[in-house]
Amino acid sequence: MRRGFTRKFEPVRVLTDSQVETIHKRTLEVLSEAGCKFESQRALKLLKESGCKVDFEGHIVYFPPDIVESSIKNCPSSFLVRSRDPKDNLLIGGNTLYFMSSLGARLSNIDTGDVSIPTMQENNQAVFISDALDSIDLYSGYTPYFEIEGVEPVMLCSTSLAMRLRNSTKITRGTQPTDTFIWETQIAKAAGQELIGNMEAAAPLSYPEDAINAAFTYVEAGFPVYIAAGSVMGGTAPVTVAGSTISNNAELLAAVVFIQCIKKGTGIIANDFVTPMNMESGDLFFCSLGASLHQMAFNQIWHDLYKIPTNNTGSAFPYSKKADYQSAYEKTHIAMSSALSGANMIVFHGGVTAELSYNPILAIIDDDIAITIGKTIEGFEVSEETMAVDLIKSVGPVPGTFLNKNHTRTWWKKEYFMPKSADRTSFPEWQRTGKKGVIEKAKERMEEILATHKVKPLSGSQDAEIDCILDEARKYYKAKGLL
Amino acid sequence: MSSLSDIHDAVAAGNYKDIVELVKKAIDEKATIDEIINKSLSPAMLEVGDKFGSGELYMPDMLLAAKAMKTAMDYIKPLLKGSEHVAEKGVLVIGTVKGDLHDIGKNLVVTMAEGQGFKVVDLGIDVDYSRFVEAIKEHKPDIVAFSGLLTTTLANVPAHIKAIEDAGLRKDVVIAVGGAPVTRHFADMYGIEIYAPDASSAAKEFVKVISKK
Repeated sequence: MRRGFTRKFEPVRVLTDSQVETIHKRTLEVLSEAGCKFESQRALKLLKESGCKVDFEGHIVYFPPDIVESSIKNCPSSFLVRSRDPKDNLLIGGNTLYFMSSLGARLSNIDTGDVSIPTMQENNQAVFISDALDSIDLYSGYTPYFEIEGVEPVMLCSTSLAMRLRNSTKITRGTQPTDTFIWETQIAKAAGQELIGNMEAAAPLSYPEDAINAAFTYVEAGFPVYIAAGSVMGGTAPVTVAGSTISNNAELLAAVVFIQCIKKGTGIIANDFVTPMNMESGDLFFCSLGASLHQMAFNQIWHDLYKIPTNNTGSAFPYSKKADYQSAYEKTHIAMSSALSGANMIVFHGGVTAELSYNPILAIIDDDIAITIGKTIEGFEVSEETMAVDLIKSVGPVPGTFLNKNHTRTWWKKEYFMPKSADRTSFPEWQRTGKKGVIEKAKERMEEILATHKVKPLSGSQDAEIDCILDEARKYYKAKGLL
Repeated sequence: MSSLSDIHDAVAAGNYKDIVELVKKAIDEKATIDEIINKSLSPAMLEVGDKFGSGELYMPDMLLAAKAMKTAMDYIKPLLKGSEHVAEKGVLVIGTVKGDLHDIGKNLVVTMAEGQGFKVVDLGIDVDYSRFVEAIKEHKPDIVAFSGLLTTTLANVPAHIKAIEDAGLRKDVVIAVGGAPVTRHFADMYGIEIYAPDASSAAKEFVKVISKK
């Protein structure tokens, strides 16, 4: 099982108990009075049978508060997701923090910020490198790239999943568009791996048919589901953090009820990717203060009140177009606030250029940052041994030293984290060894990973079965005029 | 005439609540429809657009100004007599592609295009292939625009274009595509003439197309 990081102190709370209660009550008010649109007769019937009030003509479901609250209680506060290699199993929930790899549309040039469509080899190499990074515990859907040279858009999700399963044993998420979940479920089963399913709303307060059909397929396959709404503050949600917290909660709780109606006890991970709108351009305001505060409030409510595991996506995509100072501070501040406020998963490694690109070298640098964040929430041990009072007394005042003590030799390795890509040389040595910065050192680390890392391969029959499934997918989409 | 200047200021301030009364007042003071449009409404929108471009105003300011202008235009249009008409720059049919429910970007493009004088037929979200075809037959647009937020639903754009081709209508329209994940490469791959990364540049591209006709 992957260890992740264990938060050992109370999370940071940005809301009072009374505010949490008020937000929850007003969320229930939105769900019962405004409702949520479900673009599927099958879903509408199921929700009606489960006790919701349904307007079949308008496709709107109105959720009675008691049904929402009992559905919340039916969600497990933690659950296991199994990999084809047990070392990569995940126990999601509680005080455990896992990191999810980020993604991007295309490959970013680490030096210039220019983007290009990655080849299949570049795609697979990026997955392989992520498999080697200790702090990446799982993958998002269509990771690492939205576009791969030679792969038609409609085949991207299923092909991308196949490549992740071939080049890594880490758990991954499925996706939902254009019936891809049909193929992704089959591919995961062929590989002997559980998937985390996907159900994403279209804010405000709506679920498209794809999302609903995806949920049915993933739940019926026995997989847990990652739910998300991704509203834009000031666009598809109120511009205020409080208002968009309520609208996002309403969207996600509608999904919680729906999924529990399909199968009671299904594991759910609730994602927060609510982002303010950049009012200069209408674009998303990536890695903004508003996103950070929104996630902190979200983590508190879903952890304390609902006891449903959370994921935060705010740190996945810096606004910066390059792997530079801006991208580092943008991602780190928001990931740290996520971790401190109790997120169970944080999307982090490798994304840049406002969701439009990814680079594995950046993922290597982000590995160090993620470990730093993870170890921060693990705090430090306070014990007789670590307080070292006897040692303090024996060393005494100047000229006493701690450097030549067994205690120092033993404990520095336990208490320190030594980043693998950061420069820690003295200035003269830095000059003498080529003035390498973090990017140069990450490139060296990448070469080392490519030369030495090993991934447990799929069997020949598993590979062949996956190829057959992809062929079936092609025929399916061709018949639909999408290929 | 002070009422014309009041109309201008109301649009600039996004005051859609009072704009109709101000237009009525201007008409009472014998202002012509042409004067109201060309000396008040349009100049105000152009100024707002320039200020948005220079960073002095922001998205909500622009949308409210456009709302005020649309409110005024909706009041004015039924008053036009006989041969009078509001000159339209062109006709745009726009919708979010099949499978995608997102519409912020599309709505921004609608606002910007109307601000530029286009008649816009907004088909809404999750628009089926056949609805675009029907809209082309009915409204005979100059430009057909597809909007999408999800990379994965943009996979439906080629199917939309195919439906237009199969109906024999491809040569009659210029196709535009936009949305956060769209790229110039994507547009080129499917023979799409206009690619715009944001609403503001979309409207400018539309104007360029019309001016070449």
